[in-house]
Amino acid sequence: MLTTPTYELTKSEKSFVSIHLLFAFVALAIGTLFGPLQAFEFSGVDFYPLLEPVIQSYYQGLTLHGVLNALIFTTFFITGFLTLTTIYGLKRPLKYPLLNQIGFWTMVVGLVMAAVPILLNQASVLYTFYPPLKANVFFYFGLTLVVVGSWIEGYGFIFTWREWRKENPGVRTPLMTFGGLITMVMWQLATLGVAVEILTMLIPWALGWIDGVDPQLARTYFWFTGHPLVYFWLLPAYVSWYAMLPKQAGGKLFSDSLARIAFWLFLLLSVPLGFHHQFVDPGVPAGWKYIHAVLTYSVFFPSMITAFTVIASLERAGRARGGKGWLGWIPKLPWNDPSVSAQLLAGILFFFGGIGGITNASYNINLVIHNTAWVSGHFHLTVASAVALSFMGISYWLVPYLRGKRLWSRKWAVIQTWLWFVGMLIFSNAMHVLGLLGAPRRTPLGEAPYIPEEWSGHLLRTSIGGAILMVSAYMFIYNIARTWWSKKLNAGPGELVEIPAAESVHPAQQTPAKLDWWTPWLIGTVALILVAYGPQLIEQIGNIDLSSPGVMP
Amino acid sequence: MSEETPEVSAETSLHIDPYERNWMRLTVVLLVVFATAVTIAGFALGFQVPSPEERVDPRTVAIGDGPFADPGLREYPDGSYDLYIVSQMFSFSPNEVTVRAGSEVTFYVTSIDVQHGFKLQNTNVNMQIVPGQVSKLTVTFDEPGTYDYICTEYCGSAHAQMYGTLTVEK
Amino acid sequence: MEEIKSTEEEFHPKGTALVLAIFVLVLILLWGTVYLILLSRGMTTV
Repeated sequence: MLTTPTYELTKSEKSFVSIHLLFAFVALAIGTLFGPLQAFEFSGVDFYPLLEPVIQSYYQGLTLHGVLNALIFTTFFITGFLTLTTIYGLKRPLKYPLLNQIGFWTMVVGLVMAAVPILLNQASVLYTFYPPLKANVFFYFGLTLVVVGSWIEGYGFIFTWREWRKENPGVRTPLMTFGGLITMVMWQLATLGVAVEILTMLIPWALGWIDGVDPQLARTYFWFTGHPLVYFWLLPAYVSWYAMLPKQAGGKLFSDSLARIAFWLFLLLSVPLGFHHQFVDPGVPAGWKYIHAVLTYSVFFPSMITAFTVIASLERAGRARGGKGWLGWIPKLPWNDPSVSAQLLAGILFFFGGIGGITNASYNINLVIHNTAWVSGHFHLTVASAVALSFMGISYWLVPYLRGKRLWSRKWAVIQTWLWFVGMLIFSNAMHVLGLLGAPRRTPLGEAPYIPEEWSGHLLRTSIGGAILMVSAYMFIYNIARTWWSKKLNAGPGELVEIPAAESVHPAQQTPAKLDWWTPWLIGTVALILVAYGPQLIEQIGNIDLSSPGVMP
Repeated sequence: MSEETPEVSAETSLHIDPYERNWMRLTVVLLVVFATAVTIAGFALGFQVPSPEERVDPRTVAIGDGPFADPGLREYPDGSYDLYIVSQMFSFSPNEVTVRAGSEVTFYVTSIDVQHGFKLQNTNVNMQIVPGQVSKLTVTFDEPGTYDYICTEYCGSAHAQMYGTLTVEK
Repeated sequence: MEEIKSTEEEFHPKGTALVLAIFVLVLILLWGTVYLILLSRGMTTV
């Protein structure tokens, strides 16, 4: 039997990954604070007056929550984690470490540049920054640099992979590296929309070079990026679920081929479906909305493959550990490993996220839930559960690995993952129900004049769920901080010190070579984007009308 | 490095388990069923989403002599209505409207400043309101009662206060 | 964690099939509920 190939990251590689995580965790710690503040406000308990003059409004807090948690925590964690999966998967150092350093520090400069106007209450435009709500120009510059920095890090991975390919012709790209590369290539294509929005419209407008913007066209640009952004967050979690979790559960990946097919389909289908966020927009024809609805349905398919392959890998592991009967393998999984419990619970929450997602995508059904609390509820099951809880789980082995320290408390960590699960079930269920009843999203409902009595119980449940999530989030932060600066070197017996690289049941080399060829998939991806977006982009850009002067809120 | 020696001629296969193959088939069937249900509702039963109506200049649309300069109800001889609504930070104009039960109402909503949302509670009227565009949907009110229309898109500090009420009389 | 025994040949993911069957039933139920809410709230024509 093959032994897991061992490869140790160098000290400088470890510290490079670590500093990504440090920024990610600090962003999470600050951004998370404002989540529960909103949830408490729903029950009429408003803590914002206590925060003055540091935080001057609910929306300044909500902007911080969205930007720091959904954009900064994720991007820094992902670029750090994928640096590791590139190096460890390929068993070679980065081709141009300086390039990745430049990418990282570009992101840091961008973060600072965007954070200053937010903290000065000059960019309280939420993380979707829909014009003509206007922000200080440095907010747009900052976001641009964060994206450009992440591009540069992605180029670094691609150059490294090309070098590896020269050294290893005919070898299948290791799955963890492969998934990371797909993520970054998809991200390059996807971010073109928001790049054009910011560079051609928002920055010239914020600088006063043009008098106004075209808000409808801006929405189309934004959602070109906005939905694949979700897959940019999700695919690194899938990398862990496919290429690591089976090993952590004591088994192997059930199907290497299908894992790769799923990743290819995500490359192909992540981008050309953004109009499903614009189903009720006035400026997009219903026919194009319908086409994007169908394309959105098709991207459900690779996630369903993922569900089967990952669960089957877990079932195989659970049976090897003595599980019997239909479901007896589930309790046999190593639930006492916080990294495993985090990812299993994240997966369960993601079932509900998937159900909400297919509902959102269902064309006219979107009329029922568009811009309601349902959407925020859905979003917390996807990015704040499938993604964030998985990232927490990854952190529970990754931080000890990088720092050479023992996790401060495994027991706390397991409890933390369950609290997140329970808190999120309560919170997200209440939000979904509120949305069906008509409650708007991102609105301080505690002060809204139109709240029917029947909402109050659900509003209270969002507060309770939010409180549990807050406790869980800071248990995570505390555990990681204690581990990070711990004096206990090296992990103890039974603690994970190696990177959990899963083998597959049928060795990757038996996977057809076609599934390692980029060219046809890239051509297909670009072609599909052109078909799905080309005519509407030509139409909307051709009719551009920069007549909205805008307001800084 | 204990990497397997690559054998370029190694036998390759997709190795798709029969259970998983059936699962993929089931997924496709499920998606086709959902898509069919949505398509029938949309294109046969009349549960449609907005489509482009008209481009306007948000700086001038509410002044001059267009319908948005004098927003409100327009009644037709057949008993149906057109209802023009102007959204701005932080109110709808008009914010109180009364129509007769059984009447068909076509909503035309635009914004003169930033984006807003227009959601008429307990109905399927739910539209993004974008400056420079007119959002339009038509519904028939069978049940007498009051329906709030609320702003569902963040539009500034007093967004939570932005709403109006439509009353359906017998 | 070591592979405890080789079960490749006999393994059929019937538990996975059951878990996903339950998922599909919940999916149909919840999606169908929202679809019926759409239908109950009346037509919106353009």
